[in-house]
Amino acid sequence: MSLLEVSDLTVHFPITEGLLLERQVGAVRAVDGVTFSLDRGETLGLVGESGCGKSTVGRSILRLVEPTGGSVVFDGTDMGTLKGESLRTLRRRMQMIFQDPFSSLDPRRTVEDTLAEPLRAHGLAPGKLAHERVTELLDVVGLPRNSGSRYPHEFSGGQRQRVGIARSLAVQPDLIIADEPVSALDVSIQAQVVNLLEDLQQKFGLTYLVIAHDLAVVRHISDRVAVMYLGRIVEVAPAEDLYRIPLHPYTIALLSAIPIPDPDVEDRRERILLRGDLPSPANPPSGCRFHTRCPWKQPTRCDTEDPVLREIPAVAGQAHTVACHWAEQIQAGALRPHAVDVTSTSAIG
Amino acid sequence: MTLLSVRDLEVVFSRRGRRPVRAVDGVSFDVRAGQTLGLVGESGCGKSVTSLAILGLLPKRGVAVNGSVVLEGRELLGLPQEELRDMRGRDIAMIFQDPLSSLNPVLTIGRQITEVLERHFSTSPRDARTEAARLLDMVGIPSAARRLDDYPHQFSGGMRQRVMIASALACKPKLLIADEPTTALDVTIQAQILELLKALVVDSQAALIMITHDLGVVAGLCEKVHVMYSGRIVESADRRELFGNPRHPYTAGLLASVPRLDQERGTPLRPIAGSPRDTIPWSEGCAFAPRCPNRIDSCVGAPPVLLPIDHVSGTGEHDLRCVNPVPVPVAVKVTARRRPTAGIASKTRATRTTRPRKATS
Amino acid sequence: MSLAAAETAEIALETLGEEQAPKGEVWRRLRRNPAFIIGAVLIAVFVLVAIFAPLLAPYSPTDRQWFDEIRPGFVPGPRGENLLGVDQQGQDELSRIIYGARYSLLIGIVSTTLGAAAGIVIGTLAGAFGGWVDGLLMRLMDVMLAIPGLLFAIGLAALLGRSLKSVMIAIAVVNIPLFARLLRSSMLAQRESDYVLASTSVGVRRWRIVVQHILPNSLSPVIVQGTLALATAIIDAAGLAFLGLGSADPSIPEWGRMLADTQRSLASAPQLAFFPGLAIVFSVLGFYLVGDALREALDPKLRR
Repeated sequence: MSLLEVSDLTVHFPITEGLLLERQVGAVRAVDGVTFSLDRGETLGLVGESGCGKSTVGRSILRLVEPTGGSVVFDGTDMGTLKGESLRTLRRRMQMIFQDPFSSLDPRRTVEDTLAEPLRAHGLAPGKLAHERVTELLDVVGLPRNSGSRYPHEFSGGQRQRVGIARSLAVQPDLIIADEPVSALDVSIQAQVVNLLEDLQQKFGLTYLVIAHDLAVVRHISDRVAVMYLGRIVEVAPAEDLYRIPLHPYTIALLSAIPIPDPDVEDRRERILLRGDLPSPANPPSGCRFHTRCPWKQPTRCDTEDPVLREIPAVAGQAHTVACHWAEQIQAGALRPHAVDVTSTSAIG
Repeated sequence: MTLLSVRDLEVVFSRRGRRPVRAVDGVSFDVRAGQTLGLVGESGCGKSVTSLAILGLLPKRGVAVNGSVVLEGRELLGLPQEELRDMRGRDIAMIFQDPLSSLNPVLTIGRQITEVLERHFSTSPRDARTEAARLLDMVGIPSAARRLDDYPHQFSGGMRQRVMIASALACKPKLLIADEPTTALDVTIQAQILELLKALVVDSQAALIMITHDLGVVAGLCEKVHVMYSGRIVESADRRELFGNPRHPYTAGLLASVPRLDQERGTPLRPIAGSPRDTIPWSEGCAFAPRCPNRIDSCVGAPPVLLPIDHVSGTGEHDLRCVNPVPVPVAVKVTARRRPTAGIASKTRATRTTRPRKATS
Repeated sequence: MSLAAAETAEIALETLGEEQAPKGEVWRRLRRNPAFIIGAVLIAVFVLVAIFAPLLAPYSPTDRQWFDEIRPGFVPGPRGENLLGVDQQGQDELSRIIYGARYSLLIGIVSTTLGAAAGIVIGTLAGAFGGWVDGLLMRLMDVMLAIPGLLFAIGLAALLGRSLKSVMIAIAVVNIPLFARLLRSSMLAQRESDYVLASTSVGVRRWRIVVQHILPNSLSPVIVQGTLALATAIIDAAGLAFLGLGSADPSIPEWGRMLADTQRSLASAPQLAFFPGLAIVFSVLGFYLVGDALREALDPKLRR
């Protein structure tokens, strides 16, 4: 049984109007039917650009944001049925690492306070034990032992992120959801934190859901990768397969957009440029959500039928699923990308 | 022909009760007309401050700027405000990282562009408007004429950045400075903007200084690259030479610590130890010494000097500020490990896509 | 009355919702701010004078020993025996000014503390619970804000009689909605911050998060508001006393009252309006300077 099973997860944020009586006139469909599962010990990378809903997925799994539909089953327990104390106790088993190392630590509390807080919240280390445990945690993440008495502002971004990681480890969780764990850090520090996360996974048998927009980092650290666009997953595959044989047009465009520090490769590579901007999540396009910007859009099916995630048998290796009507033809080279009429895209608000 | 010549530029920030901060500590470089130059470094290396110093945009109080910045034979440092204002926009234009805060939210974007034109060229309002529409069209904004009357908040981030580029190019400056123009944008939008910049710079023959922390961006865009660390340039070379033969431990460290799509997935990341805060002043030795895997005794004591070294590949010079650089064979080994992957397929004639619309002049 | 207070609330609101400046930094900025130094000195003088009044005042404030020297159209002015002259009842002006500091300080502190305490509790409840609790409490605050402070004070005086007590209550009540809204907004802003989310995801109980995380970080604007509210309380008390709503006892040396009393004798003894007015100005100025300096020092945007 998987550690985490997410089925048709939906998170809609209402848009209301009216002075006295607020009526709902629409909804921002941040997450619009997301399904995936996560096995114990695995690392799943969830990638996409801003507005795709990946952060919201992470937060709604932890119920920091309430889902409006679908289900999240953690180790057999349906999280939607939990309330109050039972939710709080289950929270111990799934932790989150936040993106911003500056705002995710309370500036008025020492590092020791911040690390001891989860221990106290779950009664894990009464009295003196708390201090010992905090020291252990600092060691594990590679911070000096005397860090406990200092305040967040005395540390660099990379060090604060380590504190955040230590905090998530404090209660010995099964699952860690890392929401953009390195994007706020300097490039030379990112590698340190990525390596640390990998070491910790080995050491403690952790399961990771890594949410990020940096595909190179995600490829490095993940076993499988899911690509999101406008609230939906458009492709899921083992990391190596996704990058070698991307099937969904969005994934292909995404990969071709990533700069590579090699002038020869950059000069020679084929760039699939998307036109226009992301459509509004309050008003997603009909049919396939990507059809308004898709360089492979076909006259039939794309703007009328919503593609489902389906497995592509032609590709070798583990399950590779993609939500595109024409995936096989694109992969075989039977269809060519073409220019997209820019006026048909709608800019955000 | 040298367009801009920066010599020994120094910027020191002083605050009461604190030690002065040498944000830029002796930077020298030249920009030729039509050349694309990259200034690469992480936060705190001084690259942004360098560009602000060139344009005279640093505050007066608490900031000391020394050295020389010569644009087409004219010294820019110390110029009176009036002349600086004339120069900005007309000779040198700048694009900033965050288009939302660089555009005036209460003016229509049409107004913001026509303002620039009217100020520098005394264009009539009607002609300015026509030109503004043309510029917006050139940068790929659909229904350009209609959108002249829209406000910045009605555009997405990528569109706003295009507007910024349009207004920067309005007066056909000789030099364009782009300070992290795509850092705040999604990667597919970044690709669009970079392609646009590339095309426009080629068309207008303006020189471009690209300031970024992303080595991938400079690899595709800049002919020459300067790597900055803690306020000084530590390595300079043409892009092929720099990426093929990185000699400074910092440059090599950066390249080795970034996961790359064209490498084997399991290639371990080799981070640079410590953090950018672990630094010593250049006057006491090499600022990178505390973090440097190649550190030897002579790294601390006297500051290393920027000297030309033999280049291995590519053309042009290769300057290095290091007494114990990374040996060449290691750099060559790194090249051999790479192999092309399908996600970054080479262009063939059949799959070439259309380019963004170019200016029709 | 509410105008000055509302303005100070505006100033305090500006420090909301952003990362706080670290403690050491705040103190450093304050130390170097000349406005803060001057304001702090003024406040210190004010407080010390109030506390040590019996030691500092040359005479008792109610001692009318010079009453006989008053003629129609003539009141003894500043001279050797009475440094600030004599007032219309024959009492030493200097001693009255000095003892007046006590009343102003008392009224200021008591009314501000009462108002702030009540406001903070209400604001915390509204911010912590949200939903209908928040809605109800805030509508209540809106109603309170809508009532003109002056009318309320008059009504209260009619109800409880003219006394210092009714003045203090009136000022306290006017402060309640200001503090309530301030704290509520502050909390709302903090609630969205990542570290609150982090503590929630770790499993910390809600009330603990409010008390240990949200409240301490929401206090900066409240501190600024408190300082400024003290200043306006002093002005308001003086104003109310001037209008005759303060204590009915003419011998109490309250500055506003003293100002009011000079109306009749302005022609003969204009200096008597000068001294209490000046005293009010200086004490209030001290609080304003400190409040403004605090706001600047706490402002995270001004960080390097």
